[in-house]
Amino acid sequence: MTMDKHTTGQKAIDRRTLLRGFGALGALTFASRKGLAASLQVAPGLRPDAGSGTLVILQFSGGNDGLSMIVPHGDDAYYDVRPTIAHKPGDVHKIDDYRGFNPNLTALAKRYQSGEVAVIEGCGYEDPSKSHFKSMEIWHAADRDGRAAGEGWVGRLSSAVWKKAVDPNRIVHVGATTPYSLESEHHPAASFVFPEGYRWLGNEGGLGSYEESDGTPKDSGSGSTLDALRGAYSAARESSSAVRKAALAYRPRVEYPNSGIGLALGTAAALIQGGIGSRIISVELGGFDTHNKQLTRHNGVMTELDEALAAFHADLKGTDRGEDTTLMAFSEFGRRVAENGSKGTDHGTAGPMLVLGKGVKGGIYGKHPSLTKLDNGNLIHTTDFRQVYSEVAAQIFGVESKELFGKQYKHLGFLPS
Amino acid sequence: MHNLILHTLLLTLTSPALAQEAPTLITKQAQDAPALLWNARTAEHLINRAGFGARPDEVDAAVAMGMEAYVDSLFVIKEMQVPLDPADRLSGKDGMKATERDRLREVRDEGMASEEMLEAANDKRRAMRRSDKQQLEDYTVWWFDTMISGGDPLRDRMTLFWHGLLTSSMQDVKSSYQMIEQNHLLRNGALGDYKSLLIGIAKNPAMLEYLDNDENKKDAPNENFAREVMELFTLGEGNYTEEDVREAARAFTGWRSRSSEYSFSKRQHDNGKKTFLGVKGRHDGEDILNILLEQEQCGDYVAGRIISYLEGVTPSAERQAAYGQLFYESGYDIEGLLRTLFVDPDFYRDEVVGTRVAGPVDYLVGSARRLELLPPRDWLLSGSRLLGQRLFHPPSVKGWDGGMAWITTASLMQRGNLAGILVGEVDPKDVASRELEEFDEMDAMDEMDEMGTMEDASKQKARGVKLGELGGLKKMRGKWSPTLGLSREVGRVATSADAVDKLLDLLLAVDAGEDTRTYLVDEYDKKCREAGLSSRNKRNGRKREAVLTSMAHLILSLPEAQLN
Repeated sequence: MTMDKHTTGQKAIDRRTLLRGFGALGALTFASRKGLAASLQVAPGLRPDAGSGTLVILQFSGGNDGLSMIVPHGDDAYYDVRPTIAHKPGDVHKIDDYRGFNPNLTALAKRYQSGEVAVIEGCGYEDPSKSHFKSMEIWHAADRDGRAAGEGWVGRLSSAVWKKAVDPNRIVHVGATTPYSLESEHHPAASFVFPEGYRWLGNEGGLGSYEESDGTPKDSGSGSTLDALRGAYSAARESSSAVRKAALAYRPRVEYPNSGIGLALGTAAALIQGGIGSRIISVELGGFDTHNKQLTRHNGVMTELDEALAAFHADLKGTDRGEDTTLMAFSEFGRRVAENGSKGTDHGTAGPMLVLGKGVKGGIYGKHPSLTKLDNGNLIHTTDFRQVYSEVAAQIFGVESKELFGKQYKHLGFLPS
Repeated sequence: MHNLILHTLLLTLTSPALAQEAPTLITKQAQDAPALLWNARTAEHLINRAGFGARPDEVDAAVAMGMEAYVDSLFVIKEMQVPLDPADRLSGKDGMKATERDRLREVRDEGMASEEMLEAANDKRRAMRRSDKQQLEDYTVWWFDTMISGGDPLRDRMTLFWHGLLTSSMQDVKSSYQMIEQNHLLRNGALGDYKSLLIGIAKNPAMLEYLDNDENKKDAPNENFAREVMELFTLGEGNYTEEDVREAARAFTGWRSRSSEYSFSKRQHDNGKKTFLGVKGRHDGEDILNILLEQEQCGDYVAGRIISYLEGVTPSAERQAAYGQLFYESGYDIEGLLRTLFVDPDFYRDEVVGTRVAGPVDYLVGSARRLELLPPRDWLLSGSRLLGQRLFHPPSVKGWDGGMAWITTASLMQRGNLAGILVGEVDPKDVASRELEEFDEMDAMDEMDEMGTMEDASKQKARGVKLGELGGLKKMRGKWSPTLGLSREVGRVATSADAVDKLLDLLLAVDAGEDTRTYLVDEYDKKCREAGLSSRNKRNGRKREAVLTSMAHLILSLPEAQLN
């Protein structure tokens, strides 16, 4: 092809800018975005230091019962309201006299001892929603209005760091459905479950010419949805080869467990070690909506989590890129303090977040919410989750929280400079 | 047109709260707007949205029929033979009831059960689970085939909608009988009244199990169903308080599923006084549902969901309110709402026509319909799963998100690959890559058995979900070489552009832009040259068919083919 490189690249970017601007419910009105666009205008030359580290975002879907993950074994109130689903003090991996890790988080508890695990307690937000979907949106958009507020927080972060310099390998979701946090006006996420099958078969050549001969979206005649599809199409073409090669070439140093999260973290490791420029990788672990039989169900997920995290850690340990990787875990809400009649718990509010990595200053951060001073049976959050996002954004990507969230949040110190 | 609108209002109003006020006709615009043009554009749009994948000959026939007759035809009750009688077969859960399993585990733990006994029990359970899975797959394929054959398109379309709204998952229900029985409920009520549908689903065994109301007991209520019935089935988030959730949960205590039937446990029901949405009383579950149905917000919310689904665009607040009011005042008559919508000029506005991202089922069924193929069952089962819409396995209680959420970089590629398999251009084994070929979902299920309990096995579930979707494609390797007859379909054409236009008309729901068309003509000429067909002589049978088949694959892989 004799096409001018610069022109081609430019066109691709233009098309991509339209990609993620359209939510499931049609075109978002970016005009209504609380002046976000304005705050993203950073003068040229003042570009923040984008660093080199990778952030892995691990989402616990369904509402993780924080009290079963970081167990308040030193609190009588915990045992009073959870007669059948509490973890006995002797079973937990004790952190201190008050709290301890879930009995199944053996490897994580061990890693905590080595100072690479930060537990941020009582994370939540004002006027908490107990709807899975609304609350998840709030965590994804980092805004109480959810997706009505505009892009996802990672999308905003990406624009702040990389402006319009798009790299289709940079933001990746390993999973079936891309979370709203990655929704971005400028930076589409590559998203897949199996890197092996991440390619077009049979007519790749023909499809290539579609892209290059294709004019600007204004000729589409079908408006914005088609333009969004064309953006996804370009991103797919541009990311597929690098991603597939990185994943297929990768030989992990350990065997990952045969679970969804194990396989996803294995793929994340491949992208990190492949050096293809993946900076934010999103993965998801489900199974947390434990309205019944919580003890067995939650223990199962904890085991799955512990095995996957242990493999991921062992695989990355001692490598430059691996040690420059930080993992942050969250859930859309914690669960009701008291158990229900089905040996489970209903939707609740605040819960702990985890941040893991070589660069992390391990320990307990924030304040444990009271188990007796409750709001309608629910925990009252003690740390705004955006405070955690802020520190991650600033310390890994060099973006100050004021730019992202319109407010300067104080760092807790789990990611020292 | 006015007759159609009035039809919707001739309804029996059953609830006293749904007072028989003078009906407000739907939108004033609908009356004032210029008469709706019934032509190829509007007919194709209606067929795509009220059914699936319009073929050019169907569009012609619908135009010839006239709009009123065509809309009427959608609502004619069809005698449909549902070939499976789920009552004939047991579910995997019945293969070994919990008590039996517990008993065996106990004797095993006491060392009193022999290896053989446990092995036999495991074999039995495995066999039952296989047959359970098989039964649900058979039913799923029957449903796909019905959508493709097009015998009752609107009922299929709306059943699919309700399956996404009033949803349950086999993952949690673990009984094909209950899942199929729920689908019958949705299918029978798909065009009826929402009140019956809501009460039916609230007492539906699969739903009772899916949202845990089965375990909602007097002393410590389980709020799962109570919350979702408001958030997702009636009012929408933000239209009730946490107190309402708690009170409703109390009212639903004692509603359970026993032997796949609804049953009421008086002992577990909280008969105390409750205040729900400001109404005081000793409410039970039905009272709660009735109070919900008495809220105008319920009409607004459900009408909004229906319109968003069929139009692919969130309606304006005014439009939603107008339809909401109509829906509410008609006693929640679904047929009436749809009849009004289908003759509403706004349903055919540019913002709506050809701008909706085809969901996986739409894409697969639409492609098969346009090519007049009844695809192999594994293509349908694995394909829908690979693209993110595995029927009877919604990702969450919210069903499937739809719209651009269907599209990831990977799903876009896989759509093209599945189209390639459908037309016989792509070998399924290349999609199901070597690493994954060795995986079989049944193996994972067997592992679960070894582990003893379903709960312990939950960690295996994710693996099954993620890898199992390709298993079926592996099975169909080399067995599918369809005859498309595209040469005949395209017929004699004077120029390459004419051939491309014929294909585009056949395969796309939208008009391809000029650029795309030019590009395709280039590709067509290139393929002709490679096949040794001169640009003039393009009638050479087999070679021409091969070129057209390859073109069909290419067209179905384009962004334009993802719209309908």
